[in-house]
Amino acid sequence: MLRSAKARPLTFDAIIQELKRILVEEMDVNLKLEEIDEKVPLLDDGLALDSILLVEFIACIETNFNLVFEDADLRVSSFDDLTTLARLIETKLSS
Amino acid sequence: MSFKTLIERIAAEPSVRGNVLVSASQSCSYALLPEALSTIEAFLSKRIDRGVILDARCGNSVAGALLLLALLAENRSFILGKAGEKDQQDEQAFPGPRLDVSSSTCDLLRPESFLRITDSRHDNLSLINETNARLYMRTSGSLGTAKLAVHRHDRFVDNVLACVERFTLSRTDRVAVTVPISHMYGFGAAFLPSVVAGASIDLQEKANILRFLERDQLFSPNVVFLTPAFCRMLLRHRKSARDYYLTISAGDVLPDEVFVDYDQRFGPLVSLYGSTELGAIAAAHANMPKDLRRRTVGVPMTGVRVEIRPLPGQVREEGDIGALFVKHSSGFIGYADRAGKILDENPLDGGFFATGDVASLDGDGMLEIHGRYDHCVNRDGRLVVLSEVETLIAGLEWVDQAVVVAGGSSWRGEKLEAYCVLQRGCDRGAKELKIACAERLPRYAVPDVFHTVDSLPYLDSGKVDRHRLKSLSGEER
Repeated sequence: MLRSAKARPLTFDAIIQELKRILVEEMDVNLKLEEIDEKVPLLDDGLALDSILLVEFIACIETNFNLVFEDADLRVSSFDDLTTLARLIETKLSS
Repeated sequence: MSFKTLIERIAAEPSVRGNVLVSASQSCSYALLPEALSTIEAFLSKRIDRGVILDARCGNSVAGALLLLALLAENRSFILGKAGEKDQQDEQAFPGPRLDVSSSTCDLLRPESFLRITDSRHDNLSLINETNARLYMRTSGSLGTAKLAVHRHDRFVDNVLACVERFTLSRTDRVAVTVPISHMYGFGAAFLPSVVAGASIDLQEKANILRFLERDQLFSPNVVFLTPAFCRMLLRHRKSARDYYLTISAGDVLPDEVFVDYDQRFGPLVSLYGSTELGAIAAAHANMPKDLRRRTVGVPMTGVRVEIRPLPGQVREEGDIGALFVKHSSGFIGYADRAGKILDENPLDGGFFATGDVASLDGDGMLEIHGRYDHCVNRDGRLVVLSEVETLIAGLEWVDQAVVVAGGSSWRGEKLEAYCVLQRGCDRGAKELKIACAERLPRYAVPDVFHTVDSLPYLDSGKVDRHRLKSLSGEER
């Protein structure tokens, strides 16, 4: 878990870095941290996360950021790339 | 009755004409279906002789679906394949015309806008006449060369009709197909039966939790075809309530806890059991009691006979589990090589096909599947032969020995654990093993966990003690 209730909110950059760390260290993605571009598509062309890696990623994000994605959050457009995803996470953490 | 007749009849029904086939960026009503199919046939006729076997590659798109319907309606023989899939080696490529279908926005009445033909590289191609038109499907068999299971169109149609009957599909249904229509499950059990029933159909390409939830809101299906892994995904991440009329799951055994949870939250869930060789073999019915739907795959389909035979070394009694053999009146006629030539081998034993599964039949004829008996496991709906994964790992120059055992469960199906003895002095470990496998194997075949050990345990017979390895990992099958 990245923060407690009393910790300062994460910066956008910190969210991006944590997402990259999750991909490299907690998931089955065969890349190094410095190889992941925050603008590379997560699905299809790009990282090509299949349906199973995607659910693992969602589960890891929920655990590590201590949040819950509602159905309305789980949009293809929100998972375009790490930047759009980080924006969603930032919004949820600040609400 | 032929596919052509079935399609023409259903498309002419007034109550069906407004129903639609949709995918992410394409849509076609049943009213438009006859015209769309005839323009595709006119396009093909100018370019390819009718008797030539075609290699049809498509994803879950309306354009791809129309191509496949056109090939069936016009009794053309074709190999069913996945869009964008590269043949592992050039020698494995089919030496005939290849049809690739675009899934982007296009004019469905102009085949040239979505269909690309790559001409054959060889002149000596088998010609199949229309009365013997065939459908070739790549088997899901392991990592080596996939065999082609050969179906006759005129028998395959009965396989499709049996699914319409078992799932009570009708023109009032709205069916979501989350599995590829380039395989038997998606094509023969989900898509074609839904078309024959005149249902509206949503073809989901590369379905995942995000796409499914979005499409669910837009299309509002009442029937869903999916896999056990997809059931898990929905259970894990879907928060909203939903009550589908029917969900059909196939591709792997459905764990009890997944069934109970899904059935409670999202409506009746049934299992379908089948294979590329035989099509649909058995399926539960929505009206069956929950416990039977949980435990069994229902009764065999019309035209199917099953036998439970003793496993090697087993003295079997009535009601015991054993090896499942199936005789199917509308199953395949044999295997073919990559050029479509039927192989001499007889895949049947007295008309029965060895499924490789362990099963039992209860007193009411309900079939229960217990797993495999041939050192294979199902992962992501694909068959993985453990020895092939072992051979690949052991083939790494810094690995001395490798054993892969299955046990427990993972998102992809049975959990795979690899135990490896590395070459002396090697400074690599589990992480490097995982990377090496990821570079050489399809994702579904990569073991979930890697262990490096000093040595492997052996039985007195000299074989590796796999049971001991499983107990070391704390998992028992």
